[in-house]
Amino acid sequence: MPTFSEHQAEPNEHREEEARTGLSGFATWRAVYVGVMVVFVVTVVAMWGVKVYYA
Amino acid sequence: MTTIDYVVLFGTILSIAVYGVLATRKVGGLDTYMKGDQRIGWGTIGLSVMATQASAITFLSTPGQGFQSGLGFVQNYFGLPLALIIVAGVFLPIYRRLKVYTAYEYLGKRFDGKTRLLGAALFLLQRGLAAGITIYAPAIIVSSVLNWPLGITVLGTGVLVVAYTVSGGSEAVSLTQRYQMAVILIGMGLAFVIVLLKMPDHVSPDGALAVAGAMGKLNAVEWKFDINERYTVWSGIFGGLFLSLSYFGTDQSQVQRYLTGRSLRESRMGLMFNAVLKIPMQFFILLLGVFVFVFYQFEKQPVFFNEASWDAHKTGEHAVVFDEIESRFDAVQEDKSIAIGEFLSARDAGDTTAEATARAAMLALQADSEGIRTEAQAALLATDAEVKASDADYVFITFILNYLPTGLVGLLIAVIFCAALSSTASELNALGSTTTVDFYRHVFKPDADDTHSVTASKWFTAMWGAVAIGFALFANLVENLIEAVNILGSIFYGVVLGVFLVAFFVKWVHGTAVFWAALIAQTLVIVLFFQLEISYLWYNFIGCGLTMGMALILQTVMPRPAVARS
Repeated sequence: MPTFSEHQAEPNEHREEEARTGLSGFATWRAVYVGVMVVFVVTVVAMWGVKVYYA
Repeated sequence: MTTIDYVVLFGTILSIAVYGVLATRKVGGLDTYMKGDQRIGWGTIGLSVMATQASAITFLSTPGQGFQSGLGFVQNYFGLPLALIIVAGVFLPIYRRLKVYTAYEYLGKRFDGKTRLLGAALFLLQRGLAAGITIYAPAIIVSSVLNWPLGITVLGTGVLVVAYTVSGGSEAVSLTQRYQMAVILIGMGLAFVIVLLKMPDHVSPDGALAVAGAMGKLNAVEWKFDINERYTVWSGIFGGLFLSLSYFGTDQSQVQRYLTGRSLRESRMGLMFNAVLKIPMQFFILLLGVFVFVFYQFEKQPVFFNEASWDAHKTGEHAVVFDEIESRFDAVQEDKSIAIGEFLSARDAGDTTAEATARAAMLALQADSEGIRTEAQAALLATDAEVKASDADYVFITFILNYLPTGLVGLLIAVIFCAALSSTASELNALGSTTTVDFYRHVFKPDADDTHSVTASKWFTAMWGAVAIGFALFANLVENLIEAVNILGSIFYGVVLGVFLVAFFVKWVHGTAVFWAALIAQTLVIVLFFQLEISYLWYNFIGCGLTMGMALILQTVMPRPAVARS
């Protein structure tokens, strides 16, 4: 049964969504993932800023 | 607690439980019972995933941790966003595509039956124990401060959660968690506002943060690399990444939550909801504890927050020692309050010299105060070596009971029970599902039809409920409950994650190699845990690395199956 690379190569829910919407699912989600990481970095920097400001 | 508080408390928790039973009383087949027919939206999935992770321990222990050690614990979650992205991108689509009921079913399809059973057994072992702690944690604390019988509290919580989880299965768990999480967020938000409103007039939120910062409580980010330091950015990102990856990707109590999604998109959105909100939520809960700390600089603080235990041991010859400690502590707290007032006045006036002088006095008195609290714990232990000397878990509930208005006390106690019910429900649901799918149907009754499987799952869920209640009735309070759960998880999670990562990414490794690699790695992790003095988060990384490395080595020396060779 599938490893991740085999899963990506075969038809799957992800691919079906791409076919239905005409959008590249991976690219769409990549933007979401990058956005989440940006929020994480901003949150850490903000918490560090609070620590330094009030130290 | 007043009558109004009791009405709010029981009205809240019972109405949500009854709603859960009524809304899901028509259970169809196994798909309905275990995956809620996959018709749940992302908002409910997001809240359900959050509620599963945030147990009562989160809302009792975390503010206490903030009070004692500041914000450092938030770093524990720094690996979570990346872990959820990996789960959403890799684990989730494969689980959905294979239409599995449990994560371990995938191991059976990818490797073999014994690896599937090993993964399921490790889950049942550690989650079965954790379910007991999840029920015990709020019960011991609430029963102690409210003078309720511990056994009745444990039984009441346990029976209620078993009732709606057995009745409605996965959908009942998700639906009740949505409302339980709403109660939790509203309650904690109100507690946050009230602690700020209760500060003296001359202490603004900015002033409170200045006091906390000067006392080293705002240490949310620690950059230095020290493997022995429990919470740093690096242990959080690396250890936390592996802990979160294992928890969200391979722990059935979480996997079952997002498998209920009506589409891949809904499930992913639910996970991303947590990737964005989990760290801020933990930060604010810890910050609430920090504000409670500042609040107690101006109010009479007990020298030991588990006052029931303190008073119970304050007898005979020990009473004199306890009284002397209390009076010294009160005097230091009073001096400290004055020094803090001077610090804030100097800060407002921009007088840096006076501010530095007051800060030095304040820190010296804080050191004295902490020294007396340590003395108090030693004095308590001198009366009874078995007594629990940590009082961090009692800080927040003491504040709730003494300073929140009528009605809100009931709501905040309801928050604690909602959190206990929501996480326990997920755990029992997952334990019942795994026992049914990976053991009963896989080993003993492969020809079981849907109706038979649903009935079996209900019985197994009830059985795990009884095990958890039994464990909770006979458990002993560990020093800090939230850490106990995380330590327990860290010992097992790394190995399980290693098995899954090999499954997803290393095609040429087969079942037998990964099975023995997991067994050897798990033994080594347990030995290392008792030998080394490193932060427990690193065991996730070590367990995962050992399993993967060992599987690769074993596979190179083992003969491959004939099918694979061809």
